[in-house]
Amino acid sequence: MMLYVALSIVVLMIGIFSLMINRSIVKILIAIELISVAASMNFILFSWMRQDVFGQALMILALSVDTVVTGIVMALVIMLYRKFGFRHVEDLG
Amino acid sequence: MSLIELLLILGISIPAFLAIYFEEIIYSVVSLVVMFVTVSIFYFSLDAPLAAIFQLTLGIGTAVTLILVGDEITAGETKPNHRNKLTLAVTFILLLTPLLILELPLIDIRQLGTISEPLNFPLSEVLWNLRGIDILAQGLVVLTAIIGLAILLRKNEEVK
Repeated sequence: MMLYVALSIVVLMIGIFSLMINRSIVKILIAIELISVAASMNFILFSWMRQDVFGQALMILALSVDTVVTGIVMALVIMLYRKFGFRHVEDLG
Repeated sequence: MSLIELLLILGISIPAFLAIYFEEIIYSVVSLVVMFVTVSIFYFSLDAPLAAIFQLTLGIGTAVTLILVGDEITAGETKPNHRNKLTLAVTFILLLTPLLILELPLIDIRQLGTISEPLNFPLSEVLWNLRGIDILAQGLVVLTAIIGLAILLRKNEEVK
């Protein structure tokens, strides 16, 4: 059990590390996906531990909203690239 | 630690790390897909088949979109690879330290599960009866997002 909690912490750390070192907008989106997967893993893990399905229901809600957010951000990224040629976060400044 | 646990841990942590390591977007996204598939297997092993299917479908959809966006954005961009292998190894080991630390039974987290009585509803009942308003609100959010995406990309086409 603790092993899987540790695994989710590892995925979370990889995502945060990637947020810190990467400047490409797509890589930052991938890092956000990693962080979202780490959170979802905890939902399923604790749901399984308590033997109820509330965690799964909340995970489905959270994952849907996360995917919507990713879609919106990707549309904004495409717009920024086509209009201003931005590829990296430094360009936004 | 059993062999299946080891395979799940390696199948999630290594592709997650490779997803941020590769310079090429396509390799990163392929690593991300591998991680999504392993996470889905992990959910199946935890008796959450609906969540596993949901994760897999949304993950693959996200990966396809990331490939399309990444291919358009990074077209014609040179990608030199200056990553040092020693730095890579040290970083990966540092990121794996929670596994080494939390593997020790410092906290018996199973006690947390006995706080309340377990509830055994089917997932669909929970979703539609107990979280019905959330589901409807979320449908509204998704619909609004789709309309927003269409407006964003359509306006962009007009500008182009």
